[in-house]
Amino acid sequence: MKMRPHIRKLLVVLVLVFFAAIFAFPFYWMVITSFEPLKDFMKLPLVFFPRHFIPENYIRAIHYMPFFKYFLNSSWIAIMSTIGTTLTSSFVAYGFSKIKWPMRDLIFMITLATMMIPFVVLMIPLYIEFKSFGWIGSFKPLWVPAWFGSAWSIFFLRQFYMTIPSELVDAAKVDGASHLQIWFRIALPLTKPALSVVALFNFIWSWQSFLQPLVFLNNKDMYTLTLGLASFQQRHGGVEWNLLMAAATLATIPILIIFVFMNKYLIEGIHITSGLKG
Amino acid sequence: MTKREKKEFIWGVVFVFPWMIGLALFYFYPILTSLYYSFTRYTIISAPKWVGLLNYKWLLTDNIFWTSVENTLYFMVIGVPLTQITALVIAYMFYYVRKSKTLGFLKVFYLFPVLVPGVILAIVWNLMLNSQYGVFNFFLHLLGINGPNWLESTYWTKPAIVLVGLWYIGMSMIIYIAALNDVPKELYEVADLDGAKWWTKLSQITIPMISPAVLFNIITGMISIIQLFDLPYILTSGGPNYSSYTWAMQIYDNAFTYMNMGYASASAWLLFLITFALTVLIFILSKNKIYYGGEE
Repeated sequence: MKMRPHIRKLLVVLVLVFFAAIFAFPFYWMVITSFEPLKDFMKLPLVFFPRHFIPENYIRAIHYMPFFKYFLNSSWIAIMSTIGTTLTSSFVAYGFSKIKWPMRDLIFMITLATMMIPFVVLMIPLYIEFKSFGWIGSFKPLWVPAWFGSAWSIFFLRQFYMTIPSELVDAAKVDGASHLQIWFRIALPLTKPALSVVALFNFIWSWQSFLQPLVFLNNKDMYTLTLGLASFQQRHGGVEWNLLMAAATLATIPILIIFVFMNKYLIEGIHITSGLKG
Repeated sequence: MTKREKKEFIWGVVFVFPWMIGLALFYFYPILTSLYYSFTRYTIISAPKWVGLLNYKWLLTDNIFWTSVENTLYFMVIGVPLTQITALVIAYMFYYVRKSKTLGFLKVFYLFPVLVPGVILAIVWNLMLNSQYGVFNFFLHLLGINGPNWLESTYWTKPAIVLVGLWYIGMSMIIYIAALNDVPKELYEVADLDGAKWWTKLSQITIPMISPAVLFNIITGMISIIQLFDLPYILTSGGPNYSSYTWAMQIYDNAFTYMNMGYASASAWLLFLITFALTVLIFILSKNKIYYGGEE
Protein backbone atom coordinates (compact mmCIF):
# COMPACT_ATOMS: atom_id res chain seq x y z
CA MET A 1 0.00 0.00 0.00
CA LYS A 2 1.37 3.37 -0.90
CA MET A 3 0.80 6.12 1.63
CA ARG A 4 0.01 9.61 0.57
CA PRO A 5 3.01 11.96 1.14
CA HIS A 6 1.36 14.12 3.76
CA ILE A 7 0.27 11.11 5.82
CA ARG A 8 3.80 9.78 5.64
CA LYS A 9 5.09 13.18 6.81
CA LEU A 10 2.65 13.19 9.69
CA LEU A 11 3.86 9.77 10.77
CA VAL A 12 7.46 10.95 10.70
CA VAL A 13 6.51 13.98 12.80
CA LEU A 14 4.85 11.69 15.34
CA VAL A 15 7.98 9.55 15.52
CA LEU A 16 10.09 12.69 16.08
CA VAL A 17 7.73 13.85 18.84
CA PHE A 18 7.89 10.43 20.46
CA PHE A 19 11.69 10.42 20.47
CA ALA A 20 11.80 14.02 21.66
CA ALA A 21 9.73 12.92 24.65
CA ILE A 22 12.15 10.07 25.30
CA PHE A 23 15.09 12.46 25.14
CA ALA A 24 13.41 14.85 27.53
CA PHE A 25 12.35 12.12 29.93
CA PRO A 26 15.49 12.01 32.13
CA PHE A 27 15.08 15.73 32.81
CA TYR A 28 11.38 15.33 33.50
CA TRP A 29 12.21 12.52 35.89
CA MET A 30 14.89 14.62 37.58
CA VAL A 31 12.44 17.45 38.25
CA ILE A 32 9.56 15.16 39.32
CA THR A 33 11.61 13.15 41.78
CA SER A 34 13.11 16.33 43.20
CA PHE A 35 9.66 17.16 44.59
CA GLU A 36 8.96 13.72 46.06
CA PRO A 37 9.49 12.34 49.53
CA LEU A 38 12.14 9.61 49.56
CA LYS A 39 9.71 6.90 50.69
CA ASP A 40 7.66 7.32 47.48
CA PHE A 41 10.67 6.20 45.44
CA MET A 42 10.35 2.56 46.33
CA LYS A 43 6.59 2.35 45.79
CA LEU A 44 5.26 0.40 42.86
CA PRO A 45 3.73 1.08 40.48
CA LEU A 46 5.81 4.11 39.72
CA VAL A 47 3.80 7.18 38.90
CA PHE A 48 4.65 10.01 36.57
CA PHE A 49 3.32 12.74 38.81
CA PRO A 50 4.42 13.04 42.40
CA ARG A 51 1.99 11.56 44.93
CA HIS A 52 3.19 14.04 47.50
CA PHE A 53 4.54 17.39 46.44
CA ILE A 54 7.22 18.73 48.76
CA PRO A 55 9.11 21.78 47.51
CA GLU A 56 10.90 21.84 50.89
CA ASN A 57 13.29 19.32 49.30
CA TYR A 58 14.94 22.30 47.64
CA ILE A 59 15.54 24.07 50.94
CA ARG A 60 16.98 20.85 52.38
CA ALA A 61 19.08 20.23 49.27
CA ILE A 62 20.96 23.51 49.49
CA HIS A 63 21.82 22.73 53.10
CA TYR A 64 22.56 19.06 52.52
CA MET A 65 25.61 20.16 50.60
CA PRO A 66 27.20 23.63 50.41
CA PHE A 67 25.23 24.29 47.26
CA PHE A 68 25.79 28.05 47.07
CA LYS A 69 29.50 27.68 47.62
CA TYR A 70 29.72 25.16 44.77
CA PHE A 71 27.51 27.35 42.63
CA LEU A 72 29.77 30.36 43.20
CA ASN A 73 32.89 28.28 42.53
CA SER A 74 31.48 27.01 39.23
CA SER A 75 30.35 30.51 38.29
CA TRP A 76 33.69 32.12 39.06
CA ILE A 77 35.60 29.56 37.00
CA ALA A 78 33.12 29.69 34.11
CA ILE A 79 32.97 33.49 33.99
CA MET A 80 36.73 34.03 34.27
CA SER A 81 37.57 31.45 31.66
CA THR A 82 34.85 32.66 29.30
CA ILE A 83 36.03 36.28 29.40
CA GLY A 84 39.64 35.21 28.96
CA THR A 85 39.12 32.80 26.07
CA THR A 86 36.80 35.10 24.16
CA LEU A 87 39.01 38.18 24.44
CA THR A 88 42.35 36.52 23.73
CA SER A 89 41.02 34.22 21.01
CA SER A 90 39.53 37.15 19.12
CA PHE A 91 42.87 38.97 19.28
CA VAL A 92 44.80 35.91 18.13
CA ALA A 93 42.26 35.06 15.41
CA TYR A 94 42.83 38.51 13.92
CA GLY A 95 46.54 37.73 13.67
CA PHE A 96 45.71 34.47 11.89
CA SER A 97 43.46 36.11 9.30
CA LYS A 98 43.84 39.82 8.64
CA ILE A 99 47.62 40.07 8.77
CA LYS A 100 49.82 38.31 6.20
CA TRP A 101 53.05 36.94 7.59
CA PRO A 102 55.29 33.95 6.87
CA MET A 103 54.56 30.71 8.75
CA ARG A 104 51.11 31.97 9.69
CA ASP A 105 49.26 29.10 8.05
CA LEU A 106 51.67 26.50 9.40
CA ILE A 107 51.14 27.71 12.97
CA PHE A 108 47.41 27.76 12.36
CA MET A 109 47.51 24.12 11.21
CA ILE A 110 49.40 23.21 14.39
CA THR A 111 46.73 25.05 16.35
CA LEU A 112 44.01 22.95 14.73
CA ALA A 113 45.96 19.77 15.39
CA THR A 114 46.05 20.47 19.14
CA MET A 115 42.28 20.02 19.23
CA MET A 116 42.87 16.31 18.67
CA ILE A 117 44.99 15.89 21.80
CA PRO A 118 42.87 14.17 24.46
CA PHE A 119 42.85 15.91 27.83
CA VAL A 120 43.73 12.63 29.60
CA VAL A 121 47.11 12.83 27.86
CA LEU A 122 47.75 16.35 29.12
CA MET A 123 46.35 16.08 32.63
CA ILE A 124 49.33 14.43 34.32
CA PRO A 125 52.06 16.79 33.07
CA LEU A 126 49.72 19.76 33.55
CA TYR A 127 49.09 18.73 37.15
CA ILE A 128 52.84 18.53 37.77
CA GLU A 129 53.40 21.84 35.99
CA PHE A 130 50.64 23.63 37.90
CA LYS A 131 51.96 22.17 41.14
CA SER A 132 55.34 23.72 40.42
CA PHE A 133 53.59 27.05 39.73
CA GLY A 134 51.95 26.72 43.14
CA TRP A 135 48.49 26.70 41.50
CA ILE A 136 47.19 23.42 42.96
CA GLY A 137 44.86 24.41 45.77
CA SER A 138 43.55 27.42 43.83
CA PHE A 139 41.14 27.89 40.93
CA LYS A 140 43.96 29.07 38.65
CA PRO A 141 44.49 25.80 36.74
CA LEU A 142 40.87 26.04 35.61
CA TRP A 143 40.83 29.58 34.26
CA VAL A 144 44.31 31.06 33.76
CA PRO A 145 45.11 28.89 30.70
CA ALA A 146 41.93 30.21 29.08
CA TRP A 147 43.47 33.70 28.98
CA PHE A 148 45.99 32.41 26.42
CA GLY A 149 43.19 31.53 23.99
CA SER A 150 41.77 28.21 22.92
CA ALA A 151 42.19 26.41 19.60
CA TRP A 152 38.48 25.98 18.98
CA SER A 153 37.65 29.63 19.71
CA ILE A 154 40.52 30.89 17.55
CA PHE A 155 39.42 28.66 14.69
CA PHE A 156 35.81 29.73 15.07
CA LEU A 157 36.53 33.49 15.14
CA ARG A 158 39.02 33.23 12.31
CA GLN A 159 36.22 31.87 10.12
CA PHE A 160 34.40 35.16 10.73
CA TYR A 161 37.38 37.44 10.27
CA MET A 162 37.96 35.81 6.89
CA THR A 163 34.63 37.24 5.76
CA ILE A 164 35.63 40.83 6.58
CA PRO A 165 36.65 42.34 3.22
CA SER A 166 40.37 43.13 2.95
CA GLU A 167 39.44 46.47 1.38
CA LEU A 168 37.99 47.54 4.71
CA VAL A 169 41.25 46.73 6.47
CA ASP A 170 43.35 48.33 3.70
CA ALA A 171 41.27 51.50 3.74
CA ALA A 172 41.72 51.80 7.49
CA LYS A 173 45.46 51.29 7.03
CA VAL A 174 45.60 54.08 4.45
CA ASP A 175 43.91 56.30 7.02
CA GLY A 176 46.83 55.53 9.31
CA ALA A 177 45.13 53.03 11.61
CA SER A 178 47.33 50.35 13.17
CA HIS A 179 46.27 46.70 13.32
CA LEU A 180 45.50 47.15 16.99
CA GLN A 181 43.02 49.91 16.15
CA ILE A 182 41.53 47.95 13.25
CA TRP A 183 40.99 44.93 15.48
CA PHE A 184 39.37 46.99 18.21
CA ARG A 185 37.34 49.44 16.08
CA ILE A 186 36.37 47.29 13.09
CA ALA A 187 36.89 43.58 13.65
CA LEU A 188 35.49 43.35 17.18
CA PRO A 189 32.24 45.27 16.53
CA LEU A 190 31.65 43.41 13.25
CA THR A 191 31.91 40.00 14.87
CA LYS A 192 29.75 40.56 17.95
CA PRO A 193 27.39 37.63 17.18
CA ALA A 194 30.35 35.30 16.69
CA LEU A 195 31.87 36.50 19.95
CA SER A 196 28.66 35.67 21.78
CA VAL A 197 28.62 32.16 20.32
CA VAL A 198 32.22 31.64 21.46
CA ALA A 199 31.38 32.99 24.91
CA LEU A 200 28.29 30.79 25.23
CA PHE A 201 30.08 27.61 24.26
CA ASN A 202 33.01 28.31 26.54
CA PHE A 203 30.68 29.03 29.43
CA ILE A 204 28.76 25.79 28.87
CA TRP A 205 31.94 23.71 28.53
CA SER A 206 33.36 25.17 31.69
CA TRP A 207 30.08 24.59 33.55
CA GLN A 208 30.02 20.97 32.33
CA SER A 209 33.63 20.12 33.02
CA PHE A 210 34.22 17.31 35.45
CA LEU A 211 37.61 15.69 34.91
CA GLN A 212 39.49 19.02 34.97
CA PRO A 213 38.21 20.13 38.40
CA LEU A 214 38.52 16.54 39.65
CA VAL A 215 42.22 16.55 38.79
CA PHE A 216 43.11 20.10 39.80
CA LEU A 217 40.95 20.79 42.86
CA ASN A 218 41.70 18.83 45.98
CA ASN A 219 39.97 20.92 48.62
CA LYS A 220 36.28 20.19 49.22
CA ASP A 221 35.57 23.88 49.79
CA MET A 222 36.65 24.61 46.24
CA TYR A 223 34.54 21.96 44.54
CA THR A 224 32.50 22.93 41.52
CA LEU A 225 28.86 21.90 41.15
CA THR A 226 29.66 18.86 39.04
CA LEU A 227 32.24 17.66 41.56
CA GLY A 228 29.92 18.42 44.46
CA LEU A 229 27.02 16.50 42.91
CA ALA A 230 29.25 13.54 42.09
CA SER A 231 30.70 13.29 45.59
CA PHE A 232 27.23 13.71 47.06
CA GLN A 233 26.07 10.73 45.01
CA GLN A 234 28.98 8.55 46.02
CA ARG A 235 28.48 9.16 49.69
CA HIS A 236 28.24 5.92 51.65
CA GLY A 237 25.11 4.84 53.46
CA GLY A 238 22.33 5.58 51.01
CA VAL A 239 21.79 8.55 48.77
CA GLU A 240 18.93 10.94 49.44
CA TRP A 241 17.95 10.84 45.80
CA ASN A 242 15.23 13.45 46.04
CA LEU A 243 17.66 16.02 47.47
CA LEU A 244 20.29 15.08 44.92
CA MET A 245 17.76 15.59 42.13
CA ALA A 246 16.75 18.96 43.58
CA ALA A 247 20.40 20.06 43.58
CA ALA A 248 20.86 18.68 40.05
CA THR A 249 17.80 20.61 38.88
CA LEU A 250 19.17 23.83 40.35
CA ALA A 251 22.55 23.19 38.70
CA THR A 252 20.83 22.78 35.32
CA ILE A 253 19.00 26.13 35.51
CA PRO A 254 21.85 28.34 34.19
CA ILE A 255 22.20 26.03 31.17
CA LEU A 256 18.45 26.07 30.65
CA ILE A 257 18.38 29.88 30.70
CA ILE A 258 21.21 30.10 28.15
CA PHE A 259 19.51 27.47 26.07
CA VAL A 260 16.06 29.06 26.03
CA PHE A 261 17.36 32.45 24.93
CA MET A 262 20.30 31.43 22.80
CA ASN A 263 19.54 28.10 21.14
CA LYS A 264 19.59 29.68 17.65
CA TYR A 265 23.13 30.93 18.26
CA LEU A 266 24.19 27.53 19.58
CA ILE A 267 22.83 25.66 16.55
CA GLU A 268 24.52 28.16 14.22
CA GLY A 269 27.74 27.69 16.17
CA ILE A 270 27.65 23.91 15.65
CA HIS A 271 27.18 24.42 11.90
CA ILE A 272 30.21 26.66 11.64
CA THR A 273 32.39 24.34 13.71
CA SER A 274 31.73 21.45 11.38
CA GLY A 275 32.77 23.68 8.47
CA LEU A 276 29.46 23.33 6.66
CA LYS A 277 28.65 27.01 6.65
CA GLY A 278 30.37 30.29 7.31
CA MET B 1 61.61 41.26 3.08
CA THR B 2 60.50 44.79 2.40
CA LYS B 3 60.05 47.25 5.21
CA ARG B 4 56.29 46.88 4.93
CA GLU B 5 56.43 43.07 5.03
CA LYS B 6 58.66 43.26 8.09
CA LYS B 7 56.14 45.49 9.82
CA GLU B 8 53.31 43.09 9.03
CA PHE B 9 55.39 40.18 10.28
CA ILE B 10 55.94 41.95 13.59
CA TRP B 11 52.24 42.73 13.91
CA GLY B 12 51.33 39.13 13.12
CA VAL B 13 53.63 37.82 15.81
CA VAL B 14 52.30 40.38 18.30
CA PHE B 15 48.71 39.23 17.73
CA VAL B 16 49.47 35.53 17.85
CA PHE B 17 51.91 35.87 20.74
CA PRO B 18 49.54 35.07 23.67
CA TRP B 19 48.48 31.84 21.97
CA MET B 20 52.10 30.86 21.20
CA ILE B 21 52.84 31.13 24.90
CA GLY B 22 49.69 29.10 25.66
CA LEU B 23 50.63 26.50 23.07
CA ALA B 24 54.10 26.15 24.57
CA LEU B 25 52.98 26.11 28.22
CA PHE B 26 49.81 24.04 28.03
CA TYR B 27 50.44 21.75 25.05
CA PHE B 28 54.04 21.31 23.90
CA TYR B 29 55.80 21.38 27.23
CA PRO B 30 53.26 19.00 28.87
CA ILE B 31 53.32 16.57 25.94
CA LEU B 32 57.11 16.41 25.96
CA THR B 33 57.45 16.12 29.73
CA SER B 34 54.76 13.44 29.65
CA LEU B 35 56.90 11.43 27.22
CA TYR B 36 59.85 11.84 29.58
CA TYR B 37 57.80 10.81 32.66
CA SER B 38 56.65 7.70 30.81
CA PHE B 39 60.25 6.44 30.96
CA THR B 40 60.62 7.14 34.66
CA ARG B 41 59.38 6.08 38.02
CA TYR B 42 57.77 9.19 39.45
CA THR B 43 55.60 9.45 42.54
CA ILE B 44 55.60 13.27 42.94
CA ILE B 45 57.25 13.00 46.35
CA SER B 46 60.72 12.29 44.95
CA ALA B 47 62.31 13.30 41.65
CA PRO B 48 61.61 11.16 38.55
CA LYS B 49 63.98 8.21 38.20
CA TRP B 50 64.83 6.89 34.73
CA VAL B 51 63.66 3.28 34.23
CA GLY B 52 63.74 3.01 30.44
CA LEU B 53 60.93 0.97 28.92
CA LEU B 54 59.92 -0.67 32.19
CA ASN B 55 56.53 1.11 32.42
CA TYR B 56 55.61 0.03 28.92
CA LYS B 57 56.67 -3.56 29.64
CA TRP B 58 54.53 -3.57 32.75
CA LEU B 59 51.56 -2.23 30.85
CA LEU B 60 51.75 -5.14 28.42
CA THR B 61 51.34 -7.63 31.24
CA ASP B 62 48.84 -5.60 33.29
CA ASN B 63 45.44 -7.30 33.03
CA ILE B 64 43.55 -4.28 34.37
CA PHE B 65 45.15 -2.11 31.68
CA TRP B 66 44.10 -4.55 28.96
CA THR B 67 40.57 -4.75 30.35
CA SER B 68 40.31 -0.97 30.29
CA VAL B 69 41.55 -0.86 26.70
CA GLU B 70 39.12 -3.58 25.65
CA ASN B 71 36.22 -1.78 27.32
CA THR B 72 37.17 1.47 25.61
CA LEU B 73 37.34 -0.32 22.26
CA TYR B 74 33.91 -1.81 22.94
CA PHE B 75 32.52 1.69 23.52
CA MET B 76 34.14 2.88 20.29
CA VAL B 77 33.18 -0.04 18.09
CA ILE B 78 29.60 -0.30 19.40
CA GLY B 79 28.94 3.21 20.67
CA VAL B 80 30.25 5.41 17.83
CA PRO B 81 28.40 3.66 14.95
CA LEU B 82 25.24 3.33 17.02
CA THR B 83 25.12 7.02 18.00
CA GLN B 84 26.06 8.12 14.49
CA ILE B 85 23.38 5.98 12.84
CA THR B 86 20.76 7.18 15.33
CA ALA B 87 21.81 10.79 14.78
CA LEU B 88 21.66 10.34 11.02
CA VAL B 89 18.25 8.66 11.06
CA ILE B 90 16.72 11.38 13.26
CA ALA B 91 18.42 14.08 11.17
CA TYR B 92 16.97 12.49 8.06
CA MET B 93 13.48 12.58 9.57
CA PHE B 94 13.89 16.28 10.34
CA TYR B 95 15.11 16.85 6.81
CA TYR B 96 12.20 14.87 5.40
CA VAL B 97 9.51 16.93 7.13
CA ARG B 98 11.28 20.33 6.89
CA LYS B 99 9.52 23.68 6.63
CA SER B 100 7.72 23.74 9.89
CA LYS B 101 8.12 26.04 12.88
CA THR B 102 7.12 23.44 15.47
CA LEU B 103 9.83 21.15 14.18
CA GLY B 104 12.50 23.72 14.84
CA PHE B 105 11.28 23.62 18.39
CA LEU B 106 11.49 19.82 18.48
CA LYS B 107 15.20 19.89 17.62
CA VAL B 108 15.76 21.63 20.91
CA PHE B 109 14.85 18.45 22.83
CA TYR B 110 17.57 16.53 21.06
CA LEU B 111 20.20 19.19 21.59
CA PHE B 112 19.55 20.00 25.23
CA PRO B 113 21.15 16.86 26.78
CA VAL B 114 24.46 17.74 25.11
CA LEU B 115 24.60 21.05 26.96
CA VAL B 116 23.72 19.76 30.41
CA PRO B 117 26.75 18.64 32.44
CA GLY B 118 27.36 14.94 31.75
CA VAL B 119 27.57 14.39 35.49
CA ILE B 120 23.95 15.45 35.91
CA LEU B 121 22.68 13.24 33.11
CA ALA B 122 24.66 10.34 34.55
CA ILE B 123 23.28 10.90 38.05
CA VAL B 124 19.70 10.93 36.75
CA TRP B 125 20.37 7.75 34.77
CA ASN B 126 21.90 6.18 37.82
CA LEU B 127 18.54 6.59 39.52
CA MET B 128 16.58 5.53 36.44
CA LEU B 129 18.62 2.34 35.99
CA ASN B 130 18.44 1.38 39.66
CA SER B 131 17.49 -2.27 39.98
CA GLN B 132 14.91 -1.83 42.73
CA TYR B 133 13.13 1.42 41.97
CA GLY B 134 14.51 2.47 38.60
CA VAL B 135 11.94 3.73 36.13
CA PHE B 136 13.70 2.17 33.15
CA ASN B 137 13.08 -1.40 34.21
CA PHE B 138 9.55 -0.37 35.13
CA PHE B 139 9.01 0.63 31.49
CA LEU B 140 10.52 -2.64 30.31
CA HIS B 141 8.23 -4.45 32.73
CA LEU B 142 5.21 -2.76 31.13
CA LEU B 143 6.44 -4.14 27.79
CA GLY B 144 6.68 -7.58 29.35
CA ILE B 145 10.47 -7.58 29.57
CA ASN B 146 12.23 -8.46 32.78
CA GLY B 147 15.00 -5.84 32.83
CA PRO B 148 18.47 -6.87 34.01
CA ASN B 149 20.35 -5.38 36.91
CA TRP B 150 21.98 -2.83 34.59
CA LEU B 151 24.62 -1.28 36.81
CA GLU B 152 25.54 -4.28 38.93
CA SER B 153 25.97 -7.01 36.37
CA THR B 154 29.30 -7.44 34.61
CA TYR B 155 27.40 -8.27 31.46
CA TRP B 156 25.07 -5.26 31.33
CA THR B 157 27.18 -2.30 32.48
CA LYS B 158 28.68 -1.66 29.04
CA PRO B 159 25.33 -1.75 27.18
CA ALA B 160 23.90 0.55 29.88
CA ILE B 161 26.65 3.11 29.25
CA VAL B 162 26.16 2.86 25.48
CA LEU B 163 22.44 3.45 26.06
CA VAL B 164 23.09 6.60 28.11
CA GLY B 165 25.57 7.70 25.44
CA LEU B 166 22.71 7.86 22.94
CA TRP B 167 21.56 11.05 24.70
CA TYR B 168 24.62 12.76 23.19
CA ILE B 169 23.57 12.62 19.54
CA GLY B 170 22.49 16.30 19.51
CA MET B 171 25.60 17.88 17.98
CA SER B 172 26.01 15.21 15.30
CA MET B 173 22.31 15.44 14.48
CA ILE B 174 22.43 19.22 13.95
CA ILE B 175 25.48 18.79 11.70
CA TYR B 176 23.74 16.06 9.67
CA ILE B 177 20.60 18.17 9.22
CA ALA B 178 22.68 21.05 7.85
CA ALA B 179 24.59 18.67 5.57
CA LEU B 180 21.38 17.13 4.24
CA ASN B 181 19.95 20.57 3.55
CA ASP B 182 23.09 21.47 1.58
CA VAL B 183 22.61 18.63 -0.93
CA PRO B 184 21.48 20.30 -4.18
CA LYS B 185 17.83 19.42 -4.88
CA GLU B 186 18.58 19.18 -8.64
CA LEU B 187 20.50 15.96 -8.06
CA TYR B 188 17.40 14.26 -6.69
CA GLU B 189 15.25 15.67 -9.49
CA VAL B 190 17.59 14.26 -12.12
CA ALA B 191 17.62 10.90 -10.32
CA ASP B 192 13.83 10.92 -10.20
CA LEU B 193 13.70 11.53 -13.95
CA ASP B 194 15.91 8.49 -14.38
CA GLY B 195 13.50 6.50 -12.24
CA ALA B 196 16.02 5.87 -9.44
CA LYS B 197 14.85 3.92 -6.38
CA TRP B 198 15.21 5.46 -2.89
CA TRP B 199 18.08 3.11 -2.11
CA THR B 200 20.03 4.28 -5.17
CA LYS B 201 19.39 7.91 -4.27
CA LEU B 202 20.58 7.30 -0.72
CA SER B 203 23.76 5.45 -1.65
CA GLN B 204 24.64 7.41 -4.80
CA ILE B 205 23.63 10.95 -3.82
CA THR B 206 22.86 11.49 -0.15
CA ILE B 207 25.66 9.51 1.50
CA PRO B 208 28.46 10.80 -0.79
CA MET B 209 27.23 14.40 -0.49
CA ILE B 210 27.16 14.36 3.31
CA SER B 211 30.37 12.33 3.65
CA PRO B 212 32.44 15.27 5.02
CA ALA B 213 29.91 15.63 7.86
CA VAL B 214 30.08 11.88 8.53
CA LEU B 215 33.87 12.01 8.65
CA PHE B 216 33.83 15.02 11.01
CA ASN B 217 31.31 13.37 13.35
CA ILE B 218 33.10 10.02 13.41
CA ILE B 219 36.45 11.61 14.26
CA THR B 220 35.07 13.90 16.97
CA GLY B 221 32.96 11.04 18.33
CA MET B 222 35.96 8.76 18.45
CA ILE B 223 38.17 11.31 20.20
CA SER B 224 35.53 11.87 22.86
CA ILE B 225 34.88 8.13 23.39
CA ILE B 226 38.55 7.20 23.68
CA GLN B 227 38.73 9.47 26.75
CA LEU B 228 35.33 8.47 28.14
CA PHE B 229 35.40 9.13 31.86
CA ASP B 230 32.42 10.79 33.55
CA LEU B 231 29.61 8.43 32.49
CA PRO B 232 31.26 5.23 33.82
CA TYR B 233 32.74 7.12 36.78
CA ILE B 234 29.29 8.22 37.95
CA LEU B 235 27.23 5.24 36.81
CA THR B 236 29.38 2.32 37.89
CA SER B 237 32.76 3.61 39.10
CA GLY B 238 34.15 1.26 36.46
CA GLY B 239 32.77 -1.84 38.14
CA PRO B 240 31.66 -4.41 38.89
CA ASN B 241 34.90 -6.30 38.47
CA TYR B 242 36.25 -3.67 36.03
CA SER B 243 33.51 -4.49 33.51
CA SER B 244 33.02 -0.79 32.65
CA TYR B 245 36.48 0.48 33.56
CA THR B 246 37.77 2.73 30.76
CA TRP B 247 41.26 3.61 29.61
CA ALA B 248 40.88 7.18 30.88
CA MET B 249 39.89 5.84 34.31
CA GLN B 250 42.95 3.60 34.33
CA ILE B 251 45.17 6.61 33.60
CA TYR B 252 43.41 8.75 36.21
CA ASP B 253 43.60 6.10 38.94
CA ASN B 254 47.25 5.31 38.37
CA ALA B 255 48.18 8.98 38.35
CA PHE B 256 46.02 10.44 41.09
CA THR B 257 44.96 7.52 43.28
CA TYR B 258 48.18 5.46 43.28
CA MET B 259 50.49 8.40 42.41
CA ASN B 260 52.26 6.35 39.74
CA MET B 261 52.82 9.33 37.45
CA GLY B 262 55.37 7.51 35.28
CA TYR B 263 53.22 4.44 34.75
CA ALA B 264 50.12 6.54 34.04
CA SER B 265 52.08 8.69 31.59
CA ALA B 266 53.13 5.59 29.65
CA SER B 267 49.47 4.57 29.41
CA ALA B 268 48.49 8.12 28.39
CA TRP B 269 51.14 8.17 25.68
CA LEU B 270 49.84 4.91 24.26
CA LEU B 271 46.34 6.44 24.23
CA PHE B 272 47.74 9.47 22.41
CA LEU B 273 49.46 7.31 19.79
CA ILE B 274 46.33 5.21 19.26
CA THR B 275 44.19 8.34 18.86
CA PHE B 276 46.64 9.69 16.32
CA ALA B 277 46.87 6.37 14.45
CA LEU B 278 43.09 5.94 14.32
CA THR B 279 42.57 9.48 13.02
CA VAL B 280 45.16 8.96 10.28
CA LEU B 281 43.65 5.55 9.46
CA ILE B 282 40.15 7.01 9.11
CA PHE B 283 41.49 9.74 6.84
CA ILE B 284 43.30 7.23 4.64
CA LEU B 285 40.35 4.82 4.47
CA SER B 286 38.00 7.62 3.55
CA LYS B 287 40.32 9.39 1.12
CA ASN B 288 38.52 8.47 -2.07
CA LYS B 289 35.09 8.32 -0.51
CA ILE B 290 34.74 11.88 0.69
CA TYR B 291 33.18 14.45 -1.55
CA TYR B 292 34.29 17.98 -0.74
CA GLY B 293 32.42 19.83 -3.47
CA GLY B 294 33.97 21.54 -6.46
CA GLU B 295 34.58 25.04 -5.18
CA GLU B 296 38.00 24.48 -3.69
